[in-house]
Amino acid sequence: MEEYRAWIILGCVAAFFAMCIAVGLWAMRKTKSASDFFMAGRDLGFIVTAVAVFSSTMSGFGFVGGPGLVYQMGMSSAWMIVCTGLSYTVCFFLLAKRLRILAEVRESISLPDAVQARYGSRLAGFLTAVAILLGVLGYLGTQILAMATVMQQVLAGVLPVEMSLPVCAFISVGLLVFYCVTGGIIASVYTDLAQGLIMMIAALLVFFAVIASVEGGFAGMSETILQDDKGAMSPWGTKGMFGALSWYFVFSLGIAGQPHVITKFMMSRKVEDARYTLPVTVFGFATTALLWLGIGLAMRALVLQGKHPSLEQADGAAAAFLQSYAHPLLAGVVFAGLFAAIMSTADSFLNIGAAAIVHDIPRAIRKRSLKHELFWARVATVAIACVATVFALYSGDLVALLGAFGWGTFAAALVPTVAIGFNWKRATPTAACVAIASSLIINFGLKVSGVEVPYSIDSGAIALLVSLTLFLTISFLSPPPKLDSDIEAVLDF
Amino acid sequence: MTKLPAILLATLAALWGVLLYTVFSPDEHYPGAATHPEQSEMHVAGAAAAFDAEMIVPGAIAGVLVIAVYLLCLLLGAGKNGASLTFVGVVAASSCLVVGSFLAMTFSFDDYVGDPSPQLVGGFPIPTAWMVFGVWMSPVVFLAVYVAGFRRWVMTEDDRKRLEALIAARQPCSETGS
Repeated sequence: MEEYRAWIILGCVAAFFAMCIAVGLWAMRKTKSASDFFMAGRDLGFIVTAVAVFSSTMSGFGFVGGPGLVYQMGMSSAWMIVCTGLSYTVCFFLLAKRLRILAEVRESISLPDAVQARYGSRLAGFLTAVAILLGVLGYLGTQILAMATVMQQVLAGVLPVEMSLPVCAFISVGLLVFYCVTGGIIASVYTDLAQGLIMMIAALLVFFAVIASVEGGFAGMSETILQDDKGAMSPWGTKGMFGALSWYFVFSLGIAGQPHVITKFMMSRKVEDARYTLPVTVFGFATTALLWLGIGLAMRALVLQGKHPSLEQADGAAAAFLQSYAHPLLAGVVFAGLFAAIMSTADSFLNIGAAAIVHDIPRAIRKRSLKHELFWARVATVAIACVATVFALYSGDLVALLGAFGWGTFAAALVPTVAIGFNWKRATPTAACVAIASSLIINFGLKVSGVEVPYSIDSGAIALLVSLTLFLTISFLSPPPKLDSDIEAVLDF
Repeated sequence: MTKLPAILLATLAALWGVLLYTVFSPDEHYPGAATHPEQSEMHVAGAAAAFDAEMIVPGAIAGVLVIAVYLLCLLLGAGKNGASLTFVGVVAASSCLVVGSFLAMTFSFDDYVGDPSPQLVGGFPIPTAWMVFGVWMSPVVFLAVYVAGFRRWVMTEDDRKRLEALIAARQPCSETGS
């Protein structure tokens, strides 16, 4: 079977792509309005919502970057996943009920829509849309680049000549755009369902392969790593205590500010579904996170033991493990899972990006959205995908810069404005605008200037701390805002 | 519950205090991670681990404050339904598990750094085992509170009736364009 490894992997990936196309065509029949396109007609069951929530969180970064970070830094990046039990629960307490109720009461079809309704401020809605659009371009660019790179690796084993990265990128984006344009968010969430299940199965199987790959399982890995460097196997890893805690802060609270995650709350069939959505979400994420920790630790131990050659790039840890230690069929499922992880995040970004362009920004500027919104939403989806692809291929470091600061920016901009603001009547529009603006300035400023925060503290954590402090302080110092009666009623829940 | 945002602001101020104290502490110089001597793509903590052990108290305070921020947000999210003593009591008791695991992890780190042959528990060194099996797993009690107490603390029967009335009274929104 080993000699057919490349073909088996390609077969698994091709079967997965065929499924995505079929779902896109099916969803097209169900998409009749902009509300269907952006909000899935607010008719998602709890399992679909739950899997869509966790699979949009666990992107290609989790499947490729996560093991790479563990290989490079030891346990530091585990804080990004250790926080999830608490962070998802806090996020559900803060937003699952209120966002869903607000979406119904005001017929909001996007997050900036909801922000504009909550604060009665078009500027707050506009800034939210701009922050989302900036983050989307960077995040989407990195996802497309990751997808093209993986496709290049998959095709390299079966084609006589190497396919160039731009060609792989355009094939990947073509597929992504097809099901997003035809079926909108309905196609996205139902492919998310399949993608999430593939990710969970892949992660579980790989986890067992990981344990078998190193003598002594996790104890063997721990002993090898700590004999080389005690710090790497400590809870703080090589990033150190304050650096690791800053990740704990920004990744746990930050989830309540990720638009591609929290907009899913607005799509569920009924408020009560949140009760069952939360445990499925947490279980799904925890399962897929096994791959993150397992592969990273196994590869670090195997390289230190001299049983595997040194990696040229830390991000190659997952691919190297699959090529050398996984059964070809398992490698095929995991590569399909890898595409699933990337695409489930990318399609969510395409959707919220399109909403920002055709709905939120025109509404903030002209007080009304575009005519023929569904048509323009499809055009905008294609346009964003094209811009992000070109951006990813030809902008050099800029896309990596935007991708890297995506999570922190969303967290710093939207946690105060949305997560706190939707639970506190005293929060003012001025405070919301300042929080969003400060998050953009601090995140961009620190990244562009290259200033290193002492103790390896994450710049996103600093931005979140600043924006939260400003938001609360300005709200306390401003006169209490006048709220529309229905908004006041929503905040009373 | 109306005081929660003020308490949250005070907690953030305390977090700022710990961070500024640490960053501007004149006697300390953080060595940081270094590249592995043989593996160019790996980092090693080296002397930074011993430094972290010396800074364990400010680190523990910062960590507890971060957890306090989450718990305050959780209480804020529970809104009026969470104003009952029972809910606050359940959250407080559950918080003890999370904070306890975090502190056990933090203070066992000090022993781990000084121990020439650290013990393994569940495949990990003791402080890391506290992180994986304590800090990661203990918040499952909050999840249980959300699921089991949903009708009591998240979406009550009264909430359901109010929502139905709100939807019945809503004005059609002409601006969505949908």
